[in-house]
Amino acid sequence: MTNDKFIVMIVDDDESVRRAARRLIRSYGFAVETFVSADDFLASGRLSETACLVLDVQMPGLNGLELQSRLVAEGHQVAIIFITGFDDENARAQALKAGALSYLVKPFEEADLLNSINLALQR
Amino acid sequence: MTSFLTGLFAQQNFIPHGFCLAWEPGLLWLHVISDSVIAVAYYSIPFALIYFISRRRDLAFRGIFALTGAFILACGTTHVMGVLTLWYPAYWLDGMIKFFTALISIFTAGAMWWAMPKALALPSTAQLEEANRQLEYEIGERERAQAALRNANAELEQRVAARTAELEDEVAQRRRTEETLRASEQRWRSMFEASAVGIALTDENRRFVAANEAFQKMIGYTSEELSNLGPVEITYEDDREATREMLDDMLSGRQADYHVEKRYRRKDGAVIWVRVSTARAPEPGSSLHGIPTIIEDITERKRAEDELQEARDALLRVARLSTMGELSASIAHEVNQPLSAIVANGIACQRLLAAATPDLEEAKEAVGDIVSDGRRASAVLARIRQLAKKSVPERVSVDVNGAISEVLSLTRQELQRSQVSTRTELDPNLPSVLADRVQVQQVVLNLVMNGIEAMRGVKDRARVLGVTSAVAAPAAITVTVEDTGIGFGNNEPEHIFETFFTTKDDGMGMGLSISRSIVQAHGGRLWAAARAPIGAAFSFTLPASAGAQT
Repeated sequence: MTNDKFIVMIVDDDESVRRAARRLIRSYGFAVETFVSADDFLASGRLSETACLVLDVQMPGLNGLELQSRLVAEGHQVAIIFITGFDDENARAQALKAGALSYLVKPFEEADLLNSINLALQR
Repeated sequence: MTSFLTGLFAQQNFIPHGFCLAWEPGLLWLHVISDSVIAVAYYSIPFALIYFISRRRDLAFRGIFALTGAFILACGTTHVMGVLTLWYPAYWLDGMIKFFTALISIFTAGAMWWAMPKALALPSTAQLEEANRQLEYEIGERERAQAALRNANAELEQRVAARTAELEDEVAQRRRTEETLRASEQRWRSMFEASAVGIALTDENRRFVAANEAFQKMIGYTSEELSNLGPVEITYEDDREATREMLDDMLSGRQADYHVEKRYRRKDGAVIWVRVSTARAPEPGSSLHGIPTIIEDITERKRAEDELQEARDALLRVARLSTMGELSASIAHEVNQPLSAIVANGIACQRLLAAATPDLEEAKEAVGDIVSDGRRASAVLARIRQLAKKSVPERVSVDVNGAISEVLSLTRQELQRSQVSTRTELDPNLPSVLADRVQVQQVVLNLVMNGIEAMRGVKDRARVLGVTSAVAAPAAITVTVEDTGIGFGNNEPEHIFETFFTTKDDGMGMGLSISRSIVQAHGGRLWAAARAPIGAAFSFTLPASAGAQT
């Protein structure tokens, strides 16, 4: 509604979280796609359409931080918002240092998520 | 007389017999010589007979011999008279002699015929010899028999002597045996009386016929009181049925011995724990009537055991809580996931309903998700509570696959955080086991945490935790947790089960030894093995519950 070309990609292995996040972000009027793993996302070929990536940190296979490193290494400028159950200082520092927009610990504040998405939108 | 004799010899007017012979000398001499020879011969025969008879005193028919002798003598005399009458015609005398001879001859002949059958009946010499031989043979036989009899007698005497000696020995032996028995009886009796353990004898009527001092003290009844009681009466109410069955089995011979731990109720009402050992004499015809029983008071031991068990349970719980403490971040995450989903769904719902055209369908779905996430969160909490709660160990039918799955879901985040992927192969046909579910989960949890820990330093290869359940013959299940971690190095796999052995900096080294004690208490075993080509595998077995489907 706000911007149809702006697609938020959610990568989370937990179906409940995936469904809830999708529903919430959609309620703000964004288009949302979900993926169960980093590998699933990379394999989808949707990277170029991705305006904002909502990433879980702990996932089977390639985890969130590894996906971020990889995208950065490959020169992709994707806005990344981490949402995680673990408030791990090292992980937070690494994520932010690598350019993440935010590192949100579940259960996150709605406003923080919305602000982060809006930040991504402004980029 | 004179006239008679004169008459006999009177020649009167008779003519001598020679006259008849015309005195012919030849004829005369012929008669004279012949008659004389006959007479001589006749006279000699009686002498021979008399001699014979005199020598053979045993001769039969002596009278007949005498008669015959007289007859022949008379015959001889007639021949003498024949010579005499040639010249002297004493015919009267001659006739008288002949008459006398005739008389004797008649008697002789008569006697002979009279004696004939008897004479014939007399045995012949041959017969006598035969009889003699027979007799001699019989005598020989008799002598032999007598000799044999003598031998037999001698032998008999010998035997009697030997047997007498034997009997004396036996008597002495018996006396010794009796003394030994008496001594033995005294020994046993003093053991019975002085024994520190209770000893009692129960008869077929299920009454105590004997009870030693220790037993009386233990149970609080006197010997007299016990004689009106039996094992059932002094048993604690809840154990009576089992005791009744035990007595039935013992008395009917279905069971030869029993060793049970049970409770008695003392006379003062107190309940004591005892160990009862009975052993019935194996042969049914035994003179030992009743059931001898040894009773030990194990109340103290039971209490110590209970205390030990409580301490052990407490230790298990502490160990469990400590493991869960290590998991706290993961557990928090596990609860956080559904909670954050609920919050997100709730906000989305508010927005959907607040919109100008509310998307009721989507809102409804969101509420559905909230409900299921709420349930999920509470299920996680329930699992945690169950693992953490102080519960009395129990034996229930446990679905081991379900227990494993719950542990894996509790540790899911821990596994992800440690970048460990899991590979599970749970046999869908796994039989249930009779176990304490929480303790089984504790073992699986320990093994999973152990596997994660072993792979923590691994950088050069995939970190894979494999969890397998399988049916193991006979009537058991095997659960294996394997990892691609550092393995055992130079250590023996068995070494790591030692309490306080640890490779962790912050580990207590109790997880594996506790796990092993849990598995063993369930009748299973837990062991470790090096995994090829790398890592370690921990397996444990548990017996399948009776009647479980395999």
